[in-house]
Amino acid sequence: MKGLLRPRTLAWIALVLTLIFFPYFHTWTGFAWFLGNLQKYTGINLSVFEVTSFAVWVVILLGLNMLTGYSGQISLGHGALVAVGAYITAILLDRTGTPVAVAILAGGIGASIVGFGIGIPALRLSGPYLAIATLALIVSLPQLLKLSDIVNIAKYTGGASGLDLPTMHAPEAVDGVMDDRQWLYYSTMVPAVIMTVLAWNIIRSRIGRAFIAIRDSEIGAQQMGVNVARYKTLAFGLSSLYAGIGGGLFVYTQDFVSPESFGTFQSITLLVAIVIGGLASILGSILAAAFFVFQAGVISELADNLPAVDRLRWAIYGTVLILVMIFLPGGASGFVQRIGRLKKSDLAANVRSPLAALRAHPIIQKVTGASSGAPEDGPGTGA
Amino acid sequence: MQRPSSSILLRLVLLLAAVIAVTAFACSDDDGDGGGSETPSGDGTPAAGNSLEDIPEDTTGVTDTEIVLGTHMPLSGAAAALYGNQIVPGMQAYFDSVNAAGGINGRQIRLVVEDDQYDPSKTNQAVRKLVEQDGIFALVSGLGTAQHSAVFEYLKEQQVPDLFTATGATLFTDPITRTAFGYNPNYVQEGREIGKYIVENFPNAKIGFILQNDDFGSDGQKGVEEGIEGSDVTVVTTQTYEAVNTDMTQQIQAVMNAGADTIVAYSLPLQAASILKIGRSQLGFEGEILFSGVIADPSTIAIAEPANAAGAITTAYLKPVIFADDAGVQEHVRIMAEYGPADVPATNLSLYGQSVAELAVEVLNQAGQDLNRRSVIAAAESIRDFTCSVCLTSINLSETDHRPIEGLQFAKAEGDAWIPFGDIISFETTE
Amino acid sequence: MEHLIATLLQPLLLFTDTPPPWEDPEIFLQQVVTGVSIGSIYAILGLAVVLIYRSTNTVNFAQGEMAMFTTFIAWSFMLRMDFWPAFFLTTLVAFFIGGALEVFVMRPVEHAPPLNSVVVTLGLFAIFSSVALWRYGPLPRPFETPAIFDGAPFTLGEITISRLNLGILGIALLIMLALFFLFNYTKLGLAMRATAQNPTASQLVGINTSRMLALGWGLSASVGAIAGMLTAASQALSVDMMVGILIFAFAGAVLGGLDSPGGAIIGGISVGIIKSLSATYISPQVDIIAAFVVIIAVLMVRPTGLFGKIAVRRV
Repeated sequence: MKGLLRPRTLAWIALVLTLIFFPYFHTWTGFAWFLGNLQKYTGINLSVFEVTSFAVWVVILLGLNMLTGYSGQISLGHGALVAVGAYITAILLDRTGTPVAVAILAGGIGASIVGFGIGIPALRLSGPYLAIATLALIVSLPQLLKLSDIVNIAKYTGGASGLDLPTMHAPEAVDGVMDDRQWLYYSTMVPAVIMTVLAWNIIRSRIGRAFIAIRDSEIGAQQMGVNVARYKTLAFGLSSLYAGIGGGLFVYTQDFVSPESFGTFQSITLLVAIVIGGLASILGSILAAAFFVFQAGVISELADNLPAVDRLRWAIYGTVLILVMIFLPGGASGFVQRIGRLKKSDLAANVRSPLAALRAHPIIQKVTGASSGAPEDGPGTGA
Repeated sequence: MQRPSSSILLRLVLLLAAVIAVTAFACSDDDGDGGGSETPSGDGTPAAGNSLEDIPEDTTGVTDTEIVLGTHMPLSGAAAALYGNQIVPGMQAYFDSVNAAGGINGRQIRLVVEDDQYDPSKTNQAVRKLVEQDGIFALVSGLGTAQHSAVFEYLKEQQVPDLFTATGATLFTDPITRTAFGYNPNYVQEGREIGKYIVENFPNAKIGFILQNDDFGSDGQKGVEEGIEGSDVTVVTTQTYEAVNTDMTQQIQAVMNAGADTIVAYSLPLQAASILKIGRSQLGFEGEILFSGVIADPSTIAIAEPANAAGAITTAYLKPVIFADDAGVQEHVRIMAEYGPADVPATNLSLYGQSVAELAVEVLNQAGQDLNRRSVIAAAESIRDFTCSVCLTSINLSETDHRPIEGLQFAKAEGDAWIPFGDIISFETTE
Repeated sequence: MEHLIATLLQPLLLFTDTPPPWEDPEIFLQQVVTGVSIGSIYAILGLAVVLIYRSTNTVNFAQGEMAMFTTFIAWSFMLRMDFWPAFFLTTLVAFFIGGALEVFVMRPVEHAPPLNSVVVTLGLFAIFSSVALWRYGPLPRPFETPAIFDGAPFTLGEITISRLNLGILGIALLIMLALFFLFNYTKLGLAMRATAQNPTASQLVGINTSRMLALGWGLSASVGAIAGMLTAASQALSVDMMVGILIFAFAGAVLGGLDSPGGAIIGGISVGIIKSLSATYISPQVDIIAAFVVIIAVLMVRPTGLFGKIAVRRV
């Protein structure tokens, strides 16, 4: 009985209860008053729909964190894989009678196949070359989706105007118990929670450790017997699975997708979000999603009082970003970790492969002349 | 804490199977929404109403003292913010002037503006907030084709009047949705007129298209091709560009290579300026250049430089703000000065904002004291021969005609501005 | 051989009406020239990217926005003075802005993983973009073209190139030569390269690495400013004018090899040519796709670009 009363367990229970009953909070006057004022004063809009959107982005950002945070491969084109999943789901829903869940899963699987396909050639690229190659994906995507000349892709993707689906409704089975918005919440939050738990498991498994080993030192990992090629590709595949499922959920909740739904700027913002939220951290991905979804409201609110803020919105984010990078490289989750005094070993960001720990030692650093934590790739010595 | 990776994959498969099972079972009967091969913009699904009686007499957003209207506009995010930051002040200033004079049937108009940053998923967020939290009565002047597409079905399903969308895209008025109205001249209709103009004035022209790679471009093309049908005018090439590309050298070159002597461009202002500047001064194109009216702003000429822009032709449906002698324009300038923000002068775009606001006020007035969502649609459809103070053409709406502006005047670049010339052309579809 | 190529390419060329190169070589050459014009701008911005990479081992994603911002500064100078004085003054101002950025913003993350520097430059991207929007507004405005570029385009047979584009190409080559000379034939350039390769060893030898890093950023910002001003001259000055160009500048730099100034030029111009030719002969709807397909294909064969140094890993 004592175990149940420990603060941590209570916190978890409270969290689970909140997640389960959240859609109904709005019908309880006390809570409704709280949420209304929260929105009025901070601009954070915690409507059921917004929280549902938040769940979608958690899935997407978990995927990106897996790729960039844990396995260290910079991808600026994550949005392209989300788009693949979104479009597969949308096309299936628009043209066939596929049940929603299957369509979303198909989106995830389709995206992960594309991801694997990208991961294999990506093995040859490193650092900035990889970043720009992935950027190439997201930049060429709109043209590809609108293509009608050589291969009439536009016929299936709706071309420039995209695919507008009828609003999703709750099935008759739950009529009376919950309305459309609440059903949407549950049918999105449940997969999101499942995917989060799954990610947590993956990170703590051999796969996760292989990722971290590769991120910290590819050569070291290879010497320890980690099949670098396999795990790097797996990282792409897994992160794309998440991206695809996230994309399918996106379409499910938004009822609309177009070539402009996933832009270059957005892909970059995703990267920014996980860095602010915290790399290589599940909590970080969740915080990143919170930032991503709620930032618009907060700034609009501020902007009502200080008009200049609206136009300077991105300047504020940029400054925050830089400050976070300089003073708080662990991101928000790193900060939370310090406050919550969680055990350091819980966060994978702090898990270091033995070789990396050795290389980080001051004496070794002096001897090898390596002053940055960067992996060995880069311009060689052929001067 | 090591787990063999095969066990992870097994878990993965099991969990996902669970997800499929649960939701596939629950969703196997989605009210027909999960499947069906309905065309995206709907063929008038019964729920959204083809009949006026299907629209409920909903008074959300209407009280004895106020009417709440909403709009989604790009206010930040570079390029498109150009539009939002000038149109909204124009609308707001006009509403303020109407409120100062007593409002509409005793009700004050309150406009709630949401910034969607020109991003369709933010438009989704914004409009849901407007409908569900701000409780708007109607959406007015939603801007952006892709952006509004994201919320069109939603507004239709919720039966929220979707008035005077700020785009000439055909997909919002064709087929007709009872609660949705367009505003700008339809790109296809405009294209047809441009085509007819070419047939009349340059009977043997060889047209080279320069089109934006989206519906705007393809609608325009379709219209022009309809307009030149049966004549001696031919199309020799069609060039497209992506919206991020503002250097039209390659497109102009290709058009010239194909032997065109007339360029018809459905492009945005920056590309239009590029076509004029590069085409005239660097590549020496000497033929006619005609543009869609979206570029009819003095800034286009300024960027292209007046010498290069001279003689270019476009369309207009509002009075240019430089017509300082015109009573309507003068009034707009006065309203902007008195009610508009200090740093936004009267421009063609603020004038546009006012024109939409005027139509909205006219419709709300006509609906009378008993204002609800059904009566406002009925009122809108009964508008006949309404010419706003800054419009060039008159507006007619009906049950089968949800396109307010169905007329235009051609304009030519002279000096610093686009000067309308010739007759006012009408392609009105209401008797 | 010609027939072989013709038959191989035939399927791709079916989609436009343009006669293939072997039937009408003039169109082909003209489009190549157009591609060179487009590509020259990519080349100059690409040079700025390479400059920073070579001297600090970082990729600066804010390159385009910095160029845009400094061009607006140039515009405000031009309200008070002629083109060329404003041009050089802006280049100088940009130099100091770049140096200051390195000292105050990049230095603290020097020793962190490369992802952190990338993210910091993304932060700079956001800041420059937003401040420019706030200060100058979203309306595009005309930018003065220097008088030297006025006048009829040059013609060679039936092929034309405008004076401005020729000038841009010339400036690109000049900058490249200057950088080549700097890096390979001067002590300063050697010091900069040494700093990038091995900062500790360089310090031991007496090189003021801090100064070298700041210098690298300063020079890069100046080159970027030049790119920005030339872009504005050929198009229009607006807050988002560099966004479309930055992607292709990177693409070109990556194609040519991130540590090769010559590569940046060749890469940038190649990207322009590929876009132009694919739009002409395949379809205008695939110019961006074609450019990136080629780049990725090249990267598969040479992962560090055409002329980039091959990374040798010391184990």
